[in-house]
Amino acid sequence: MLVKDRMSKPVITITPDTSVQEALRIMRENKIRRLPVMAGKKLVGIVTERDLLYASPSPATTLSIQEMHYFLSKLQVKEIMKAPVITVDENAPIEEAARLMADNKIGGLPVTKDGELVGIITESDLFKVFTEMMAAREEGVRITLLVPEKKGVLASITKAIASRGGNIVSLGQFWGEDLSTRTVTIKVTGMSQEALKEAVSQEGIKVLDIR
Amino acid sequence: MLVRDRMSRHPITVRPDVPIHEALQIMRREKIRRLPVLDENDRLVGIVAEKDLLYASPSSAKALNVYELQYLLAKLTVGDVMTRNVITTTEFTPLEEAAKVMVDNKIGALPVMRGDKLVGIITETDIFKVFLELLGAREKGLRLTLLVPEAQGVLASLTGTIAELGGNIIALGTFKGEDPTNRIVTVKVEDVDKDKLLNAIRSLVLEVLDVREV
Repeated sequence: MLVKDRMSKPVITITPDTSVQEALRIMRENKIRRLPVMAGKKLVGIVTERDLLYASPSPATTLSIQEMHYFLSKLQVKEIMKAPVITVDENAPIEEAARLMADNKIGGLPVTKDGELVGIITESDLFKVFTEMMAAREEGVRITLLVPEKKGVLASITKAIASRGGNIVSLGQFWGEDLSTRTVTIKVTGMSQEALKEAVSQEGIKVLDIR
Repeated sequence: MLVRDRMSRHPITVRPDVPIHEALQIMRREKIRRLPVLDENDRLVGIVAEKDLLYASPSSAKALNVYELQYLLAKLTVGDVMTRNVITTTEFTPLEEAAKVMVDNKIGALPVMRGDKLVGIITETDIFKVFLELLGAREKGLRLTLLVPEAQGVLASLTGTIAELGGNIIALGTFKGEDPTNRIVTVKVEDVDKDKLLNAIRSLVLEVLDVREV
């Protein structure tokens, strides 16, 4: 699961001399919230809808509406855009994109291949991947367990489920209450709730939730 | 992993009569982008996003001159622009259910309700952080992406093999495959030799899509 597997392409871009007004119009029309800024084939900056809206004069200004519109039609994105741009390579693991976004507190990353812009990946894209991973749209019994942080625990749980004919459609590991435990959420088909509860009843494992 | 495990408790809220510029100030100061709106009885009556406030304008703008327009803009309140009929969730909803609701309705946050009472808020960002956890984004290890058959027992065989070799699974994620007969599994492991592992799982998987040390 690499960035290129879940990024959006082609990307809509603008140039440094595009007006703020025009940039906002493009965003609204295409229902997007950020635009990479290109000078020829070179990525020179990025603007978000939020940056543009905050660049506009406040409603309490003494400018007239006509003056405001004139100002916005003249203000170019190059005055507002952020540079250098944080990007990610298309062959990076998808969680690398997530880490970059979290660490830099940004909601989207232009994606490059050999230095050229080939796509864009956003928080929303990753969000959809999350629902996919947790099999949110699939039927089955969903069980959440608190398990000790020990080698082989996951293997013994999955084996117990498989040996009773259950099919695991998704499995997610999260941090537990402290570093000595983990929380594991598994979605299983082909088994009743009772059978599943019985299958995982092992030493040190607590069922937190089942539905 | 339920909403209550990752939601923000005690969300900041506003009353409907608060002027827009004040609501914007609150958002900027608290670094948040959404405010649930509560009436005098602390009932949830709406929700307002930063964007709604920044795009706000009086609806009868055409008939107004510049001064009237500016006056009306300064008087607009949260109640004039908020979204009513708020989509909400509960503390005991599975996190991925909440995520599904957000994706399907194209919204970035859900107020968390206990009956009539607002007890928290869960946002796209909260879920996004869980995603990092799920894939062990900050942890080192051997990362494998495998195409496996959609069949009973596959995940069990995979985790069993890793355990037999003395490996520890740091993270595991399953994804849609290329078609309904297969799945993609990404697993991050430690304490296991790469070649030994690849050899051992060869018969279980359809294809090894990617291997890397991270």
